[in-house]
Amino acid sequence: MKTALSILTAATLATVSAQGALAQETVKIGVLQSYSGMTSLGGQQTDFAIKTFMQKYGETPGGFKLQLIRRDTTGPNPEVAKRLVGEVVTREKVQLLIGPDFTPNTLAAAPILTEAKVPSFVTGAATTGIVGEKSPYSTRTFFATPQLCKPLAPYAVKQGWTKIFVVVADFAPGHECEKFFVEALKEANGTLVGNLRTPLSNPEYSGYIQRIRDAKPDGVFIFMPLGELSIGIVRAINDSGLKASGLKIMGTGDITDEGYIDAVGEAAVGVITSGIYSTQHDSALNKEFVKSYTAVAGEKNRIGWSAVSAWDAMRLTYDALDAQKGQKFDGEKFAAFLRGHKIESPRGPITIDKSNGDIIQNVYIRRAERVNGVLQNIEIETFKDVSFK
Amino acid sequence: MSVMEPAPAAVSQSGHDYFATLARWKIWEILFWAALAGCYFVPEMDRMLMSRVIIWGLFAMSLDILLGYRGIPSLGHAVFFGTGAYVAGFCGKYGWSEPISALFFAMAVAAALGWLTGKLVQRVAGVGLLMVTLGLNLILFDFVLRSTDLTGGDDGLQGIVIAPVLNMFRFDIYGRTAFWYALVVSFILFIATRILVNSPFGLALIGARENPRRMITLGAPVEGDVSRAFMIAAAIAGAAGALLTQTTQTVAPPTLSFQRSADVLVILIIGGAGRLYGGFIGAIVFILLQDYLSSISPVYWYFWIGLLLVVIVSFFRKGLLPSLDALLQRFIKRKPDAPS
Repeated sequence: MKTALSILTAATLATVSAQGALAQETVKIGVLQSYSGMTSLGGQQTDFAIKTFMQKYGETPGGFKLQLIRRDTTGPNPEVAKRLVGEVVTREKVQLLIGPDFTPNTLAAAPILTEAKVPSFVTGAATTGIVGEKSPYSTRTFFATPQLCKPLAPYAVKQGWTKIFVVVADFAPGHECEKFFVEALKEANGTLVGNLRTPLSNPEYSGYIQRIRDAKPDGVFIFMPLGELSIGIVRAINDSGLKASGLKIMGTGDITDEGYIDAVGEAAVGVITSGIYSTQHDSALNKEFVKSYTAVAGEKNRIGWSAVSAWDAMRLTYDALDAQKGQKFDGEKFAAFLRGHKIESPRGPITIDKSNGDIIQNVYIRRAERVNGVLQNIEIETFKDVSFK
Repeated sequence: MSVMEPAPAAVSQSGHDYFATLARWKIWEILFWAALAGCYFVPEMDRMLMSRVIIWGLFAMSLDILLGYRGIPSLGHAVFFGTGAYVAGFCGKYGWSEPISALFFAMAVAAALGWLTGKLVQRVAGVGLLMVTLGLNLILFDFVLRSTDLTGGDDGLQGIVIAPVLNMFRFDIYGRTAFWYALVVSFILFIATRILVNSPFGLALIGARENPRRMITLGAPVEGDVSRAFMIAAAIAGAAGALLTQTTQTVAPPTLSFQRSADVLVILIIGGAGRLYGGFIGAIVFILLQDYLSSISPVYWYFWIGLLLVVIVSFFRKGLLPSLDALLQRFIKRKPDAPS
């Protein structure tokens, strides 16, 4: 009996150690996005993108097995985000993080990620100075506000639309965007004929539209948070007849975002926006991306910027894990590998800045048009390698 | 609302004995706090989450002073929580990083605001009270959201530094310090509140809740008590807010959103109002459920929360604690009486 037991034990031990040698190391990835409430579209797109990517490129990059741990940040809520980051880092022991989304959440997470040396991807926060400045282990695959808010100014002036009226939503990102646009407009020798800050909740646009009309601008530049406000203002300007009388409507990609453009409807046609990604982007990789994403998510779920940012975060993760093939996972090496790394994204080429992990990418000027009956953003001009500063 | 402490008539003792009976610690109370402290030693326990539960419990208890003991419904209790949170945040940002003194300061500011609110609403009752408190909450929320230069707006207050507690215990990412700090502060404030509600002042509050007119005919003024009750409740809510800021080093507008006022009301109602422990029980149930459901189903968890709330409220109409208590009483009574 005793010998039998010891043989059994020995055999078990042998199997265990053999397995140990062969076993793949599991890398746990925390996915912290908004899955509920008004901002749940971001979380949904992130999930679809990750799923599509893993179907296409396998689930074991560099011989590592991936395990995803999803949590709901519920929107811009730093208290919740900080607790969730703490939880996935200390209890679930995640080694990588995709998220959290939104600037306040990213800021709240940074000290924990720095202390625990966990690399993270900023896939949904655009404020400047929140990447390498806050955590040496973070990498941005989204965009930085100046990338979106500056290029339209020189473009407009070049088209001869020199008198510009600026309308932004009255909150921190709105103020930041306004600042960058006005700066760029001055540099391009355009004229600011007026600016407005509109409230975030239940704005009544008719009074504002009268003020735009009185200023007689060539074009109006708009920055609104995605959703009700971005839809509302474009429709209001259209309904007022200003657009028909020749006023150019411009803005950041939010006002013609693929997720909401159908709600804007005919009012969106002809609107000029600056954006980092359009499903109409002309490249082989993008066509492939759109096809496989749509196969997973369905036609109804259109592809937005959260999807592309998550996709690129996965691309970078796979590249960095491949580089660690056969070794034990090392978070510091992972983050260091990404610095200065260049990839081809569905949106075009992107580079991760060497010094602070922020993103350098092309910015496209697009015009909203109907393509086969569907509203799309058509890229009409490219600003190459736009800096995040 | 007759679910509260045993009515004085039921106790055939002198006044002094009555208060002595109330003050005596019951065995389950000691067990409750010991179990809460024991959570720390459970392996794999998420201590940050537990400290959050404790803080929410303290916050709900502060509302209990108003709602449970004085019968004042408030839809704006997050005002005091948020005030405490932001005051503690400002202290940490502008160099006053010592947490305990900052906590007292935050309590004092919240108390002052509470006293003013009490003065404002002491002649208002019922639905009017709900509207005034709700209005105050919305005003303060909008103010904080819009004063981006002062509060950082949406992004929250940046650069909060909190020194180690007693210069020894640093707030770490594992929540060890946060847990003990929150527990000890909450326990001390709980004892203070317990003494208070079991004192003649507490009895006067209950009296005013049950029948203010009669209290006046008895010669007990009730109006002044409203502002006093508001002040005390606000101070404790402020302490809870300050605890949250200090344990997380973060403060942002959601700390004083209307949602928070509603959540704390839900927590108190789940647990049972007028019992001091109702808030803590409610917080344990609500926060742990929220955490559990949101981790197993990040997308649809609000549905389950809603469903559970409906179930809890329809089966435990007076809240968990009073319902369980009533069940227990019935069980004890049935034996000697044995009606059927």
